[in-house]
Amino acid sequence: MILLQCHSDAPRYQYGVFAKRCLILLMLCFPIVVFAQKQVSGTVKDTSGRPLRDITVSIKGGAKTVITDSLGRFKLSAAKGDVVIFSSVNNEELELKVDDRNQYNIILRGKVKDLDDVIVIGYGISRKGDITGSVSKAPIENIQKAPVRSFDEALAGRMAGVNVSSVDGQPGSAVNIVIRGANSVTQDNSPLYVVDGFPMESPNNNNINPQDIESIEVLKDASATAIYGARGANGVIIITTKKGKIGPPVINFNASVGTQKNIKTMDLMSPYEFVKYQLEKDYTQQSANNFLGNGKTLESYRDIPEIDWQSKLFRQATMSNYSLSISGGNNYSKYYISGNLVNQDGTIINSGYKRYQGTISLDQVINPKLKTGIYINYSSLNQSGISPSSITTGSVTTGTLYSVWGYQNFSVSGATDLQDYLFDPSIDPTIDARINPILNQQHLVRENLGTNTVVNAYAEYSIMPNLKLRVTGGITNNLTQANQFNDTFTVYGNKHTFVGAAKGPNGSVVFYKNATWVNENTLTYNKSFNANNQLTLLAGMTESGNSTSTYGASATNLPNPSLGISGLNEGTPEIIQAVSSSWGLMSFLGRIDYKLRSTYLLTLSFRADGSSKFAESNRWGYFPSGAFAWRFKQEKFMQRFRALSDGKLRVSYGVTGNNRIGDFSYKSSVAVAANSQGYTFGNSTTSGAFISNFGNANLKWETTSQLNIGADLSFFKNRINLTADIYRKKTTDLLIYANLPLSLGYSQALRNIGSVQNQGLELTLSTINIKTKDFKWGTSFNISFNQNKLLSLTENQIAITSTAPIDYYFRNIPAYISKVGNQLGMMYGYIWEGVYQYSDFNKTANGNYILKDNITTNGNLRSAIQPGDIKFKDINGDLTINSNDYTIIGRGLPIHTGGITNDFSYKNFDLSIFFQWSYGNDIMNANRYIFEGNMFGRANLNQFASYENRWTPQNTGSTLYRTNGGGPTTPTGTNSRVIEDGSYIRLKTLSLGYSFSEKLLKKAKIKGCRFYLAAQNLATWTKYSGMDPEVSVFNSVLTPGVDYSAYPRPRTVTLGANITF
Amino acid sequence: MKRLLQFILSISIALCSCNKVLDKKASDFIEPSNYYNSESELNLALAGVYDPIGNEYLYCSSLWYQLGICTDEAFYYYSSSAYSAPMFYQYDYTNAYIVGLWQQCYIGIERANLLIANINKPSMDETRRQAILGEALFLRAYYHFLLVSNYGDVPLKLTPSSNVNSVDVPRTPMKDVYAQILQDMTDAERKVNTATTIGNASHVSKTAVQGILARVCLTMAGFPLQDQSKYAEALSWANKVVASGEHALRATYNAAITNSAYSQIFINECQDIYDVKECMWEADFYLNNNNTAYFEDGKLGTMSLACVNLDTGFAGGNIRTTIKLYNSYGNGDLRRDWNIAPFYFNSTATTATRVNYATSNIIARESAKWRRYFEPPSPTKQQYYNGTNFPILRYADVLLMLAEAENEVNGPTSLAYSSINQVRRRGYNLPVGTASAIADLPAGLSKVQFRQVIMDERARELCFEGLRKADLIRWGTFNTVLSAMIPEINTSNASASNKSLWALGYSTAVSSSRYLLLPIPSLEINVNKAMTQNPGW
Repeated sequence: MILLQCHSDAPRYQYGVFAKRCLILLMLCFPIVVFAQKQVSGTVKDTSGRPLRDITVSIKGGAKTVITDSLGRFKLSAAKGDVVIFSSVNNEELELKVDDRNQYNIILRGKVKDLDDVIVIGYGISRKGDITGSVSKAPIENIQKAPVRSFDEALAGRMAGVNVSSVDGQPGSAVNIVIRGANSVTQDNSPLYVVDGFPMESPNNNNINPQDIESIEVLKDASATAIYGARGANGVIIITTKKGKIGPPVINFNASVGTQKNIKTMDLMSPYEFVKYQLEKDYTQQSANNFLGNGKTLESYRDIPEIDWQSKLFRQATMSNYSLSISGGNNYSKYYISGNLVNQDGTIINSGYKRYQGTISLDQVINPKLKTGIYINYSSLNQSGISPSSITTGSVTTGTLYSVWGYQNFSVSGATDLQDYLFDPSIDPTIDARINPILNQQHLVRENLGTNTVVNAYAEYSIMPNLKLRVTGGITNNLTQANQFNDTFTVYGNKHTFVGAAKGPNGSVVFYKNATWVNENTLTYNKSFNANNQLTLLAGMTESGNSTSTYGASATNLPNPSLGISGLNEGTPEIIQAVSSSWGLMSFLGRIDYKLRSTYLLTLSFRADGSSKFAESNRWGYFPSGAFAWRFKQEKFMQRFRALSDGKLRVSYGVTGNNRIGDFSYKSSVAVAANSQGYTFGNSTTSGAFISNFGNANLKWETTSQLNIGADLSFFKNRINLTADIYRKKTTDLLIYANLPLSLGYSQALRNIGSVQNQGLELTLSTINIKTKDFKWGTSFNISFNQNKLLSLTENQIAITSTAPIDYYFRNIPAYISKVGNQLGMMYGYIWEGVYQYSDFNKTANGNYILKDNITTNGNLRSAIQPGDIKFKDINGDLTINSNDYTIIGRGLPIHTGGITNDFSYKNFDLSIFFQWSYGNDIMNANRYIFEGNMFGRANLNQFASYENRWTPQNTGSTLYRTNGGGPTTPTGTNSRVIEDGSYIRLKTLSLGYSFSEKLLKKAKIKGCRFYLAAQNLATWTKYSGMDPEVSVFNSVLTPGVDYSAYPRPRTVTLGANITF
Repeated sequence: MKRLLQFILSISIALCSCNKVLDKKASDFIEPSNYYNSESELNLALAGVYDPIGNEYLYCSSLWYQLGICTDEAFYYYSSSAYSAPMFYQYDYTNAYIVGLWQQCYIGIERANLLIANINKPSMDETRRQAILGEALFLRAYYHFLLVSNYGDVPLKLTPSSNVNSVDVPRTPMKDVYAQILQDMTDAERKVNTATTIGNASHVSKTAVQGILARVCLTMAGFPLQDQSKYAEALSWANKVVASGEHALRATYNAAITNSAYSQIFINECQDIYDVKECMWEADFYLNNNNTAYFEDGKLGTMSLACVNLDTGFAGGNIRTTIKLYNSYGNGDLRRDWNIAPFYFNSTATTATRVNYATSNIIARESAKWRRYFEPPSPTKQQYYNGTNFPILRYADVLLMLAEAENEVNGPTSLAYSSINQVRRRGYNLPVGTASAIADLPAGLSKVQFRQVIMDERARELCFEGLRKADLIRWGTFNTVLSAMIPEINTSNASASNKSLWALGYSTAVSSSRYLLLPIPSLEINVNKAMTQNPGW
C-alpha cells in the first residue's frame, strides 16, 4: 500500500523544457541483437513509482496501439529507431526512440492541469474519478503563493464544508477547524489530522512549514472517514509533505518579507468630549476638582493635545519568512531536506511569533520488493505576548484594550504627564485594573517556548506482486515551556492594583510534555480479474499511545523582580503543578474497493477501535461504512451528451465515533487540594481529599452516522467542474458533561446523553473561463450551508445556557442558549428597544418625570427611570424586566460560508484574487457595553466617539441611551443593542507574481524564478462596527462570536521571491 | 496447517499487546477504592467534609448575609440587582444562593458518606478512628439539618453515590430526615472529643454536638414539625452543655481597646483568637500570611462598617440595622452600640474618620459586630476577604436555648431566669453570677411573656449571627414580625426612595407563605424527575 508517495506537485513554472528533458529514466540496459522488428516490453510508472494503467502506447506514424495493464506493463513489436509514444489523458505525452534494448521502464509525469487527479485518502490513494466518498482537496498551490506562517490560517474559505475560525488575530492564536458543523456539544469538535499517514489529535499546526506541504485533503463523509473509526467523526485532514523526486538536485529558496498593519482603530472621544461626558456622568466634587480646578472650564479642553494610546500600542510590524529546500533522488534513494525561519512581530507591541523548523525526508529502495523511508521534522516555536482578551479574575478591566480605549487621553495641564506614569490618579486601582496600557504591555512577559520533534519511518514489502505489506512507526514529542512574569509595572504584579495586591511581583514556569507513538501495519491486495473488474483489499492493525504531563511552579511577592523568571526561588512559593496522564488506542481496519468497468465503484470499510479511555466492557467500538458511486458518463447511452465530459453520482453511509474525552473520565478520582477544598483547624489550613471526578464506568463512544449524496460533473472537456454534496449527520450518545441532581453530591458527570443533527449542502465549482496561449483565467468557487440542530439532552433538560463571562457580573448571566429543537449557540438576552421618550412619562408639578404605570421598567426601580434611559422589550408583559424576558437575540453560527478564487495568468505574470465570506452570523460586540454607554458605570472611562451621539434633552432622536441611563449597573441580562450582523466578505489574499522566462534564467543557471507581491486581508466589506468580524474570544460551539478586547487581524503585505536552482 | 498456527500466534501476540496498550493506569489520581488507607488519609478526607462549612454559600457569606439578613434585625442597604436579589427575597429557583446552599450541603454529605463507608479501612487507634467517625456523622447530620430546615422535605442520603445514571432521587419526609439527624448526632456525641481535648473551635466537640442537638430539637418543636416533645430533649441537651463545665460566658476584655466582654468575643474572632469557652464551634477562616495557595478566606465584617480605606479595613456597609433592634436594648446595655455602630466612616484611600450619627438618626445604622479595624495589620488586609471566624454556636446561645426550653417544659423557673440573666448581665458588662437590678429580667413573668422576652433577647444577643430567620420561622412569627417592619420603615426619617427600597424585601417576604421555605433549586429539579417543587414556587 502506498501512502507516502503521491503525485508530482512541483510549482507550475518548472514545467516546460526542463520537464520534458528529464522524463526518461532508464533502469536496466541489455545489449541486444539488432533486428528490423523486435518485441519491446516494459512498465510505465508515475514519478512516485506507481504503475500506470490504461496508458496508450503507440508507434509514431504507425497503427499499432496497445494499452498498459493494471501493473503498468506493455508489450509491442517495434523496430530500432521507431519512436514510441506514451500517452493518456492524465499524463504528459512521452516519445521514446527504440534502441538496442528490449526492456524499457518508463516514467510519466502527471499533466499539470490534472494534478488534482490524485487524491490521498485514509490508508491509501485514489484517483479523483474513483473516489466514492466526499473528499476535498485544498488548492495548496494557491495557498503557497501567498506566504503564511501556518497552513490552517490559509484554509478559511478554500474548501466547501470546512469552516475555519480563530479566536482573534494574535500570531499563533488558536485556529479551530470544524468540518460540516459541530457534532459534539461540550467535547472537542476539531478534526483528526493525519500527517504522512500518522494520525494526530490536536497537533500544533505551526510545526509544519506550509512550503513543505505537498497536498492537503479533507475527508468529510462517513465513507471517507470511517477508516479512522473512533476519531473520524469530526472529519479528517490529511496532510502529505513533500518528498524527494527522481531527478537531479533541486534547490528551492523562498524568501518573503512583509509588513503587517492593523486595519482599523476605534474612534474615541476627544479630550473635550471626554470631560463633557465625565461631568455629565458624575458632577461631584471629585470630577469638578479633577477637570475644573484652577479656573478651567469645559471649554479649556477644546484644543488640549490628545494622547493617542492606540497608536502607541499598535505598530506596523514586520514579518519575514525564509525557506530553503533541497530535493532529488534516483531510482533507489530520494531525499527532501528543508529549513524554515519565520519571524513575525505582532501588531501589538511586545507580541510575536518565531519559528525555526527543519525537515528531512529520505526514501530508499532496498531491493525491488522492499523499500523504506524516514521523515524527521523538528521545530522550535516561540510565541510571545499576552492575549489581549484574556480576562483575569473575571473583570473586563483586565482586558488589554480596556486600558487602551478607556484610559484618559490627555494630561490635565499642571498635573503629571500620564504617559510616564503607571496610574491615572483619578482611577481607584482597587476596583479598576486600568493602568498605563503601554508600560503594562511592555513589561508583561508571556512566552510559550515549544519544541516539537516528529520521527516517522516506514517499510514496504511486496510479498507477492499484488500483495504489499506496509509497516510504519512514528513518534511525536512536544515540549512546551510557558513563562509568565509580572513585574511592578504590570497590572498583575503591582501591589496597588486589585489583581496584583495579594501577589505582588510574581511569575510562573510551566512545562508541558506531550508524546505520542504510533505503529500501523497494513496489507494491501490489488487484483484485476480482467479488464473490467478491479479489486483492492486493505487490512490493517494499528496501535497508538500517548502520554502527557504538566509540571510547573509559581511564586509571588518576588523581592527582586529584575531577575525575572530566574528570581522565582526568592518569592513565596505558590501551588506546584504536577499532572500526568496517558491513553492508548488499538485498532483493526479493513476496506474493500471494487471497481467494475470504471463505472460502478463500491467501497466498504470497517474499523474496530479499542480505547483506554473507556472501561473494559465498553472499550471497543465498531465503525462500518459503505459507499457506491456510479460514473454514469461511462455508460454508452451517455456518450451522446458531448458537453458533459465526466459525471459521477455518489452515495455513502457510515458510522464514525468521537472519543475526545479525558483520559480517565470513566473513573472516579480522589484528589487532595488546599485552596477551596481544604479547611482550617486551629489556624492551620489542611488540604482536603475529595472526589474530583465522579466516574461513569458505562461511558462509550460518541457515535455519528452520516448519509452523503453527491455528484461530480465536468463539462466541456473538464473546463467546468461542479461538485455538489448534501449530507445529514446525526450524532448520538453525545459525550456531555451532563447536569446531575445536586443531591448526588456532584453537579456534573460525563454521560452519553443527547443527540445533535447537522445537515447541509456544499457546492464547489471550478471553471477555466479563458484559455489562450498567453492568457488564462480560472475561477473556483465554493459555498457551504450547514444547519445545526440539537435533538435532545439529558432527561428533562430542554436547553443548555452558557455565559460569556467578560466580567464578573456576566459570569452567571446566560448569554447563549442551545435549545432542543434549535441550533447550538444562539445569543440570548433582552431585546433592546432604544430609549424611553418623554411620552413614556407623566410630568409632575415640580418638573419630575415619573414612568407611566403601563410602561415596563428596565430592571431599575421604576422611580429611578428617566427619559433617555435604555429600554428593553417586556416579553411576558409583567411590566418588569427580568430573566423571564430573555429571548433569542442572535445567531452565533453562519448560514453559509465560502470563498471564490480567480486566477489569471498573462505571459509571465500571474495574479490570484481570493475572497472569503461568512454570512448570517451575529457578533456580540461586548466592547460596546463598556465603551458605548459605560454599562458598569466606571469612573473616568473614555468612550467610543459613537457615544457622542447619545440621547440628551437636545438630541431626543438618538437611540443611544443618555449618560448614566444604561439600566442597572449590575446588569441582569445581555441585550441585543450590541448584537451586530457579523457577515463579511473579505479580500483575503491577493498575489501578483512574475516568473522570469526560462531563456533568461538559463544563462544565470537558474531553473526558475518568480517574484511576487502578496497581501492578506486587504479589504473587508462588513456592517460590523468592531475592529474585525473574524473573532470569537470564547471560541466554542456553545459561545460563538463574542468580541471583547480581541487582537485584531492585521493587513499583511509581503514581497517575496521563489528561486529554484 | 502451519500457516494457520502462525495466524493464531500472531493474533495472540496482538491480543497480548492489546492489553498493554489499552490498560492504562491513571498516574495522576487515586481511585476511591485505593484511598482511605491511613489515618492521615482519613483526616484529609475529614477536612474535605468540613470544607463546605467555609464555603461562600454557607458560613463564608450566604447564611448570615444573602440568605441571612432582611429580618427584624437588619436589611440590605443598596438597591436590588442580580447580586443583591436574595436580600430582597427576590430570588427564584435559579438563584445562585438558592442553588449553592443545596449543592454545598450535598457535597458535604457525599464526602461524609464516603468517609463513613471507608472508616474501618486503616488500622489505627480506635479512639481516634471513632472521633473521626463522630465528626463525619455529625457533619452529615448538620448538612441535612441545614437542608431540611431551609427546603423542607429533602432526599436523605446515607450512602455514597455510585451511579451517574441514578438521577431520580425522591424527597424524604421531613420527620424521617430529622429522626436520622438526631440519630447521627446522638451517635456523634458519644464519639467526638471534648472541647478541652480539641483546644480550638474548628473541630466539633462533644459539647458543640450537644448544643447543636438542642438547636435541632428546638427547631423540631417549632414550625412546621411542631413536635412539642422535643422541648424536653432540647432542655436535656442544653443542660448537658452547662453541666460539662467546659464552657462559660466570656467575662474579661482588653480595656485598652474596648469597653465590654461582649465586644471582646468578636474582636477575638477578627484577630483569629480562639475563645472556646464562649465560641463553641466556629467556621474557621485563616489568611495564612496571604499565601494565596494556602488560605481559607472569610468575609465576616466586609459587609459591615463601610470604609474604602484598606488599612482601616475595606467594607461595604451593606448590612443596616432596624429601629426595632436598636430600640430593644435597655439603658446600659453595651451590646447596642457594639452591634450597631453609633458612627460611620468618612473614608478615602488614605484616611478614615469617624462621624457620629445624630441621635435621631436610627434607621439604617451599620451593623458593626465584626469590625475590620481590629483585624491584625499583618498579613496585609485584603479588600474583600479576611480571616475572621464565624461563630456557629456560642455558649450564650446555649443558655438562651436552655431558658427557652425550660420555659416551654416547666415554665419560667429560676433555671430559665438564671440562664437568660447571665446573658443579659454580660451584655451590661456586669458579673454574670451576680444579680443585677438593671440587667436582670423582672420577676414574675408569665410563660408567654417569658417566651417573648426570649425572642427579643435572642435578637439582642445573637443578631447578625445567621439565626434570626430560622428562629422567626420556627416560632411561627415570620410573617407578623416582618409585616411590622414595613410601617416602621415608612414612618422613619428615611428618604422616600430609601423607604421604598428598604421596604421592598419585607413586602416581598410577607407577600406569600412560600418564603418560609426556599425553592428546590433548578439544577436539582430540572434533572431529578422524582423531585417536586415546594408550594408556591
